[in-house]
Amino acid sequence: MKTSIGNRRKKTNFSEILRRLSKNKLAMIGLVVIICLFLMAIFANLIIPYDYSKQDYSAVLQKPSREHLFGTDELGRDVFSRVVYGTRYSLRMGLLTVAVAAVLGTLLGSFAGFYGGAVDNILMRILDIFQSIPILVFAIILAAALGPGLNNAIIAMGVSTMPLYARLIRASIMQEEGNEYVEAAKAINASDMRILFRHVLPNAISPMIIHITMSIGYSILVASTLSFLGLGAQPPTPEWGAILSEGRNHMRDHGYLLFYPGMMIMISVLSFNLLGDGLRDALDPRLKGN
Amino acid sequence: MAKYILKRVLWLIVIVLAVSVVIFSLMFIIDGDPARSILSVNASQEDIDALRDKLGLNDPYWVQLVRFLKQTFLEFDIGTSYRTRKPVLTEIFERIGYTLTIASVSTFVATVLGIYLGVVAATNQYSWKDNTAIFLSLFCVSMPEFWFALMLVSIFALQLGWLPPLGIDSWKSYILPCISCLVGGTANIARQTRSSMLGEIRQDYITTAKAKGQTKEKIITRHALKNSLIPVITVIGSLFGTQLGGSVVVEQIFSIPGVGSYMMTAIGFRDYPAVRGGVLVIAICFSAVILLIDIVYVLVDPRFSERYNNQ
Repeated sequence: MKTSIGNRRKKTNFSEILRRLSKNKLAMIGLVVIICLFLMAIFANLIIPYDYSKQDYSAVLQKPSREHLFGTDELGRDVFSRVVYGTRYSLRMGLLTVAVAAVLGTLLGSFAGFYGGAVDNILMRILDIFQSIPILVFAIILAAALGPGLNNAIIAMGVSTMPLYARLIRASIMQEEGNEYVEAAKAINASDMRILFRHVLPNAISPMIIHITMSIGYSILVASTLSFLGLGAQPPTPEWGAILSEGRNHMRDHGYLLFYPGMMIMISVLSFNLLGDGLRDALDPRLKGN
Repeated sequence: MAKYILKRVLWLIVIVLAVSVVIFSLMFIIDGDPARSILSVNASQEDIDALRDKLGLNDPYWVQLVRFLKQTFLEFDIGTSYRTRKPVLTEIFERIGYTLTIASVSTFVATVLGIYLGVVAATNQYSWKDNTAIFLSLFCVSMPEFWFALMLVSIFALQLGWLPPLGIDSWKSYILPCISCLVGGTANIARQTRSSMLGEIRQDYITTAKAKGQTKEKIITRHALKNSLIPVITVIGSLFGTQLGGSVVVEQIFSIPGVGSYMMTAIGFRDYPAVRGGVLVIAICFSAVILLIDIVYVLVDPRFSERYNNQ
C-alpha cells in the first residue's frame, strides 16, 4: 500500500514536470536537435559519404561543392564527413566529463553536507584551493600533466569542474537534513550510508539534474578548447576542436574550414543550454510567469 | 569588518601555498623530460643525466618540493626558466600587463553591458527586447570563445583589414581580443541580472513604491536594481577568473605575449619553473579579485555586515 502511494506521487510529479517542459518551445527545439545529434553520432558511418580519414591529394583545399558539402582540408579529407563523425567524439567528451564531475562532486558534496563540522570544513577548504585556479587554466594544467588524449582530457575537465557540483549538492543536502524523515531514519537506527544514499540524496538531487544538463554544453565547449590547444583529441581524430585547430593555418583563404565545425559546436552547446533552461523553469515554476 | 578582511587575507596566503604544492605535484607527474627539451634531440644520455642533476630533477619528490617552497616563499624567487634562462618572475612581470588588461577590460565591459541588457530584458519581460536579449545571450554563452576569436580575425582583420590580426602594437590591437573575451561574460551577466531582477520586481516593496507614485525609472534604479545586483556581484569574481582562463586561449590566437601564451609555450617545453610561475600568478590575481569582490559584497549588503558584526 505504502509503495503504491509513493509511486503514484512520484509519477504525477514527474509527468507534471514533463508537461511543463513540453510546453516550452525552445526547450523542445533543443531536445529535438540533441536527439538528431545523437542519431548522427550513432549512424555516422552510414551518413558520411567519405571515410573521415581518407586523404585525397587530387582534391586538396576545395571550396564547398556538391561532392564535398563542407569542402576539403589540406590533406584532401572531406570536412563534412569529419564534422559528422566528430559528433561522436564531442558528445562523448561532453557527456563523460559531466559524468566524472557529477560522480566525484556528488560523493564529496554529500559527505561534506551530511557530516558537517570538521569533515565539511576540510573538504570545502580543499575545494577552495582547487577553485582558486580558473577552471580552464586548471583543466589545461591537469590535461598537460596527464598527457594529451581524449580520456585524459575528460578526467582533467571532470576534476576541474567537480567543485561546482560538490558545492551544489552540499547545499541541497544541508537543506534536506533538518527534515523529519531523516530523523525518522536515524530513529530506526539506519546506518549513515543508508540514510545518505537511500533517503537524503534522492531528495537533494533535483538541482543537480538542472546543473548537469546545463553543464553538458559547457563541457563540450571546454573539451573543444582543450582539443584546439592540442591537449584533448589528437589528430587525425575528427573532434570539432581538433578540426578547428588543423584548419587554422588556412584561415585567410579557406574560412569554411573553420566555419562549419564551429557552427556544430555552437548548435550542440546551444541545444543543451536550451533544454537546461527549460528544465530549470519546469522544475522551478516560481521563476516563470507573473 | 577589519577582522573579516584580516581573516580572508590570511586564508589567501594559505591558498597560495596550497596551490603551489598542487602545481608542483602536477608538474612532477607530467610526462616528459625538461633536460631533453633543453638539450638537442640527439644529446647523449650522460649529458642529459648531468643536466638533470644540475637542475635537481633527480632528487626525490619531497626534497624538490621543500626546495621549491623555500625558494618561492622565503626568497621570493620562482626560479629560472629552462627555455629562456631568464628569471621567471621578471618574465612574468613583463607579460602580466597584457593578460590583466584584457581580463579587466573585458570583465568591466561585460559587467556594464550585461547588467544593462539584463535590466532592459527584465523590465520588458516577454517583449521583443526581452526575447532578443535572451536569444542573443543564449547564442553568446554557447559560442566557443576561440572560434569566435578566429571568426573575428578572419572578418575584421583578414577580409576587411580594419584591425591588426596579430600581436600588440597599439590600443587597436586590444579590440579584437577583448571583444572575443567579453561576449560570453556579457551574456552570463545579462542572464543572471535578468533572473534576479525578475525575482525582485515581484517583491512587495516594489508594489509599495508603485503605490506611492514613484516613477518607473526610479523604481528600477533605486529599488529593484540595487537589490538584484547582490547576486550579480558574486558572478563578477568568477567572471574575472573565466576571462583569465580565456586569455590563455585568446593570447594563443592573437599571438599576444601575455602570461597565458607564456604558460602554454612552457607546457610544451616542459619548462616547469615557468608553468609554476604562470599558474601561481594567475591564481594569486584571481584570488585577490575574489577577495576584493567579497569585501565589496559585505559593504554593499547590509544584511551580511549586520550578521558578521553580531558574531
